[in-house]
Amino acid sequence: MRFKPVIGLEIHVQLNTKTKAFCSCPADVFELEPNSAVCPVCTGQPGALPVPSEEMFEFGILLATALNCKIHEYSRFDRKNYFYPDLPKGYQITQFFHPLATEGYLELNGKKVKIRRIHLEEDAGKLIHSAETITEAKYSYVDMNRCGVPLAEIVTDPDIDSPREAREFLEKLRQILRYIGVSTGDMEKGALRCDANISVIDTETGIQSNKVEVKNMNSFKFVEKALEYEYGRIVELMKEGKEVEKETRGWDLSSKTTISMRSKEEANDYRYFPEPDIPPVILSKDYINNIKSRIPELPDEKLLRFKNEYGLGDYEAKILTSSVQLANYFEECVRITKNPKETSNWFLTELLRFVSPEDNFQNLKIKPEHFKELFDMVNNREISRNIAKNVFEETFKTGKNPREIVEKKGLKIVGDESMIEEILRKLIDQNPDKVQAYKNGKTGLLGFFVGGVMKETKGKADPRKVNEIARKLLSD
Amino acid sequence: MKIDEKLVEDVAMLARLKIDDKEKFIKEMQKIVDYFQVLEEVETEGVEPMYTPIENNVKLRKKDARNFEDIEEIRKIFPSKEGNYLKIPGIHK
Repeated sequence: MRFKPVIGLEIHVQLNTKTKAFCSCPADVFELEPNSAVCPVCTGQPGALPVPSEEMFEFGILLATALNCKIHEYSRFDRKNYFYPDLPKGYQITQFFHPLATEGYLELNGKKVKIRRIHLEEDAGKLIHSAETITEAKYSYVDMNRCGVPLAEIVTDPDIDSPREAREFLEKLRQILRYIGVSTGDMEKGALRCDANISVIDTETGIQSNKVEVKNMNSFKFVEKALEYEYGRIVELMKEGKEVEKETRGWDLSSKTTISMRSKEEANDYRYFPEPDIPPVILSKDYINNIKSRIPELPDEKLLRFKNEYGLGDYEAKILTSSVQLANYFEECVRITKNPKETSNWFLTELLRFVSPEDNFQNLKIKPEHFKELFDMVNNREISRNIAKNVFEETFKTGKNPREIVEKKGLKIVGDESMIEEILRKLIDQNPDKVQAYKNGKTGLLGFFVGGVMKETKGKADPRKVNEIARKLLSD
Repeated sequence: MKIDEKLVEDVAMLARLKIDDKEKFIKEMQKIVDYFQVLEEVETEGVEPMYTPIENNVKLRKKDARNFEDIEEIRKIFPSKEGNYLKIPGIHK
């Protein structure tokens, strides 16, 4: 590839702490009435003093640990000054000079994407505009509920070399966020937001384009699409020998393109300075280690363990560890069934047709014991695999015991040879042409007779026996 | 530091202020900046900048969430309202 993309990400993660970053207002404000979770601190009333939340630091340390970062015992806050109606104080409290953590990495497909820094800051409010677009709106409406909700900003090095890898990075990050329980990681709801920097290197000339910042990508798919578009746009300009402007562009959903957002002249000057209202935050080694020790098994570790401990393939193990809930439920089932391979098969082919990995598995009507009962019946040749699938579905929907269902509905395998033979003889009498064809070498027709028996017995005949008897009778 | 028209314009833009009499602001801002020049006279070579007089650790807030008891008081001071929203002129108007 002659033109190589160079991508770095800047990600904002909403931390699902109980309170906002610097006041006691609740932080879960997604579905609240406008301006119903606000106080003098988060609306910037004169004289109100911010006090940082301990839980925000706990979550920050968990996240920094999961991303292999160096955590700083000394960190502090600064003011980032700008005027916009979603920011009542006229500045955002953030960590500019002394971030909580630096120098980490996230391993993605065997490659380490470096994390430059993670810092804590507060979210801004929400604006609603009275017209279709912000530029046409005569009025705008401010909801300050989100003001002060804690964010962790994660900045990566420009280590990502394709739009697809950018998406995969974010998906993996979301998985980690959910594993450690610090955020829902929901992009559609704005709990995970991503800006990307992209430049392109012409590997033939060694020339690298200017960096373009892309914003407004509110789903994993759009991150990939927007970066693909932007990569193409930059490559075109480079091929034509034109200058790639250093600018900020926004992903536009309706046109599936990126659009220039800010002119260069409007360059911001945030005039960062130390936040005088908050003393430095000094965390002891013990305190940090104590929180670090709470880190649960992370996706990569779990994946490896599932492969080693249960003998699963990479594909199966990846799916089963995609969420903690699913992985836990799988392990609960295996403890009862003592058969990881079979359990994995049933999870992948049946269970996951009805539930998604993000669902709550504790609420399922089907319990680990049911899996065992079902497996036992199949393995003892009491019911056929196909019948077992139907029984599974019914147990899943009603919570009834598989054995009970089988008995009530009379689904047990018909292993009675004389009965199978009787049905087969009838079929043979009715289809002399097919019998002849079979004898002439069209052995595939065996399936016709076996199928006939299965149909007659509503799938309950033991297929192995039917095969055996059919073969014998047809060659007589 | 010399205050000129360009700087006044830039600062006004950052503060989202419309300024008619730029000359007046050039004069006033120059006075303020000159006054602060006094500080330049202090020898600070090798002195660590002091970030806060409180060098002891911050006390972090525990995690019990509660709503502010008088939210209505905050909404009352909105200059303009629509429902519970703070209503403002269009941003790019």
